[in-house]
Amino acid sequence: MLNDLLIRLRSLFRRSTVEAELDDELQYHLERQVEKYVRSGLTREEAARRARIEFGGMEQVREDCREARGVGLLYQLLQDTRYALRIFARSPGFTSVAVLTLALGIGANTAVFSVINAAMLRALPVREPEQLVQVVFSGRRDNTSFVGESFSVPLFRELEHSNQLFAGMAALDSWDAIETRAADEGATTPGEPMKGQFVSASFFATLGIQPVLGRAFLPEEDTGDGAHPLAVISYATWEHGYARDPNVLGRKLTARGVPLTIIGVAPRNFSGVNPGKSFDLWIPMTMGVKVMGREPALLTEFSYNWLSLIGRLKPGVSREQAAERLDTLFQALQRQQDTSAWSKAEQREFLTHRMYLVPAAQGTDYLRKEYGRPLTVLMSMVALVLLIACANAANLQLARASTRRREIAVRTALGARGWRLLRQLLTESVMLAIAAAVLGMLLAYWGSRALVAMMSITLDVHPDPRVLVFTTLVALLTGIGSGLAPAIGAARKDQSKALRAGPASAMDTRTGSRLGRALTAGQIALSLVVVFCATLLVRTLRNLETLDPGFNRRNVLLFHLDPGKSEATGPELVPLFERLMERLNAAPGVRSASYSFITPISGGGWDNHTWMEGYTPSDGENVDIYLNGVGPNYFETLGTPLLAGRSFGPNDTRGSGMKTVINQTMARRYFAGRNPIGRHIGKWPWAEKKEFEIVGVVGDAKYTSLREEVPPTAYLYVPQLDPGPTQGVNVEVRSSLSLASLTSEVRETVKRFDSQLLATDFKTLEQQVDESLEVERLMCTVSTGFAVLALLLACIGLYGVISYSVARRTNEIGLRMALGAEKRDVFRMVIGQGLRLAVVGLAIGAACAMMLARVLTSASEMLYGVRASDPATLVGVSLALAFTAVLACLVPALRAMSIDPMTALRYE
Amino acid sequence: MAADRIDLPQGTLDLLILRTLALEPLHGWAISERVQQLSSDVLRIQQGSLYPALHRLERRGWIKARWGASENNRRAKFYELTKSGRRQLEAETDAWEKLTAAVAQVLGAAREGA
Repeated sequence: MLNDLLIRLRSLFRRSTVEAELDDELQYHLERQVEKYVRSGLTREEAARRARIEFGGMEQVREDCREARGVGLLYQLLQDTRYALRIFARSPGFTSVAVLTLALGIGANTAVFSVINAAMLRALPVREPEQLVQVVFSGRRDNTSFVGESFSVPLFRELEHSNQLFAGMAALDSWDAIETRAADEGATTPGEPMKGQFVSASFFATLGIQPVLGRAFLPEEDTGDGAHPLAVISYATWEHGYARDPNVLGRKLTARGVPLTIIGVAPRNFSGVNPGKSFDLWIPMTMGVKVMGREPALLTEFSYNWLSLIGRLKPGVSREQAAERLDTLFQALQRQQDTSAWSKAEQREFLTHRMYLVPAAQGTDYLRKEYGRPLTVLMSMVALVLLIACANAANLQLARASTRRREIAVRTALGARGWRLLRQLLTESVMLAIAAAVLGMLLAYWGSRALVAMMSITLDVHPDPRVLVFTTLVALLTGIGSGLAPAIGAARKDQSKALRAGPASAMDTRTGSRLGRALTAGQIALSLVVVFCATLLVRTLRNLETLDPGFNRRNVLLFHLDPGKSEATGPELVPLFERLMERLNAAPGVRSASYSFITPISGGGWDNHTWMEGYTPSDGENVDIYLNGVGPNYFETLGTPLLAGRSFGPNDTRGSGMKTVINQTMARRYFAGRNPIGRHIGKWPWAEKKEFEIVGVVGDAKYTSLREEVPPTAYLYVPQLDPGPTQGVNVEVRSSLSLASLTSEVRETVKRFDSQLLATDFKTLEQQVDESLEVERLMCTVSTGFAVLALLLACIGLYGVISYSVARRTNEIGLRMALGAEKRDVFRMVIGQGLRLAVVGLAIGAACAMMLARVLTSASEMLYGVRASDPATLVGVSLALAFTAVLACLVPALRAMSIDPMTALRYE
Repeated sequence: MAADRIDLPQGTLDLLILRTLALEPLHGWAISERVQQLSSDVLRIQQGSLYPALHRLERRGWIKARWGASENNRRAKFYELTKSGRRQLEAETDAWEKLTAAVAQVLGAAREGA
């Protein structure tokens, strides 16, 4: 064994010595043989000739000896590599084009994969992440199944305390981050908002996270409503907000005005268990009521579902086992609930709830849900782009292989075997791919950051081992994929012909160019698919951007108005807000101002099972109505037209009986053919039924998202509601002023009006709508980029093949012209050749696109207002591609036209 | 080339080299000469396979090489049997004898049966 290794190492590292020794040895043998023949009476020349014939190919024997010493492969690799480098140095143009083409393909793939990796594949930086599971439940509502992830505090307590299968269970809020600010002067960025998350005391222990400073929450800190105003801050906060001050423990923060004391610092790299969101601090969930200004029931009632649950399985317990036991427990708890007051449909839905567990090694799956499908689509598109790049590289190598035919023929004649030649050519293309991968990694570094910026999430996309492995594999496959066909072609050809023929021979290039033409047609087909997908996505975004949402999104400023430290509570807030609205309305440049609980397309919603006068729901039907509380002038401010009846007015007070304005969809669906005005609805099917009187009908306006159908909506009047706007309201101000000046104007007005009120979260309605189209915009931008890349690569491919063919046919074209062909005919011939290729490619591509349409239809939530099998899009895209193909052939066609017959004929 | 030359069956080349070297250290050319001579010209080793075989045996540690002066006083690479090579030779000789005996027996039986 040791001997073996020593010999291999010596052969490898003292290569020249070992090779010289081998030469000496073989030379000696030859000399002895010659002497032997001379002694037997032959002339010296004859003896030498005979000995050499007997010996066979000297280089062959050398190679076999190397192989026998166990370094053959390595040695050849080294040899091939050096040879390839020499070849590359000799043709820098070819090399740089090939490397650049592949680098774009590999780089784009690595960029998308880096994001997928960070968003969906990378495990959390916690102890043994594979043991983590997330608790979820499924149910059926109106014959569609849904998955729920939010649970209540009491349910969490039950699961936490009566389960033997988990080493720990943690709860964390599923809300948006809680805005927090540093409260003392020690922080270097005082007032900088920080993102907080409510967690159970078991959070850090369950994840196996030890604070680097201070301590985590204690079990007893999980009790009492608002009794433990504490916070554990993230390492990043400690570093940037407190300059890693070791005395940070005991310092104060405020979360929405509630003071908190810092008790610990989480380890570096840990920013929570929600990939895509990054938190700066964690607060005991028992502070939820106090900080959020919510009702105490938030901590005690089963119906308040606001927590995600993460459990750590005990070693040896399978996910299925744990899920089964957990569901049994869950079912028992469900049965204890009093549902007698619920509607039949609600009761039925409740009974379908089943608890189960999903792996959570990568954290909660918010990102996977939001971006999983878009990223998969992008990954597929970018894989096609890489295929096109591969075909390009293959085409380049094909073209070059025909110029290298003589070299290869010589090598074959000198004893190189087919396999050996193949390996050498493959080494070249793999080296090209590796160089491209290195360059591609740089492109990906920049590209993945750009992607994450477009997704507006916090995600660390540094390349980790998984990305490196991915890129290496892609590079190897790319190298082999782009090199195999040309290499086989080159290594298989009858080389004796090539040797005999001159370098400029037009013979025997049919095979090569047939492969080249097939590759080009394939490229055009693939790029049609990519461009088609991109066009669908672009049209989707345009459709969403230009649709009429039922309100006027321009020139409206939104902000959140919080009672803050104001002494007014509940209904007392209404006159306060109303007086503020009057002030805002009077402010210069303001056309109209109003407020509501929910602003359009904010993602937030309020829906209730509703009773409606004169409407009998069919058995099992959930009459689900979306509600919103609005102030005076709401419809006027948003630009939603009043269709019938009246809007809310100053006479609608708490004493005048509650009124509602419904939208058109609701009027049509539930009051078909009858006048809804004067009829009543009730917020709960079992409560006081004639709760609200319908006084008006307004036009349909999109509610939670632009994609969703407008739901039946009932607007309630905030001044009439109980308990009133305790948690503040969202204000809408329509004005022609610029955003910046209006914002400062409004800020000033609010401050002068009542310095206790808090105005936060300023943005325009247009921004809010745009934000809701983030995924669509990402898909549109990135897929357009890929489409351009695909088109460019396919054009380069087509251009290459056609110009190569023009170069090869110089003679023929010259002859044609000498025989009377017009320049026009030549032009038409070349363009025709390119166009024929393009048409074949487009036909194949269209067939692929139609098949793909079926897949895309199943993923139709990607698209809006356009069908995946949209024929107009397909035809349009095909025409555009055909036009591009003609453009790509233009230069070679012009070159063919300018061929001088005399020169071309003499050229031979 | 001799008409009655026999191609070496797989694996016998190693055995022949080891056996030849059991007597004395030899260089490559001498090994092939010796085999030819000992087999009364029936067996001829192709140079193309001799040297790779020598390198392979050396790597396995059954023979070792050193540079020395040849009969006609030139520098040549001599191969000699190592201890493990000697053991290998015994084992392979044994196996070879068993094999040929068994093959002969089968052939004999077949001839009788025919």
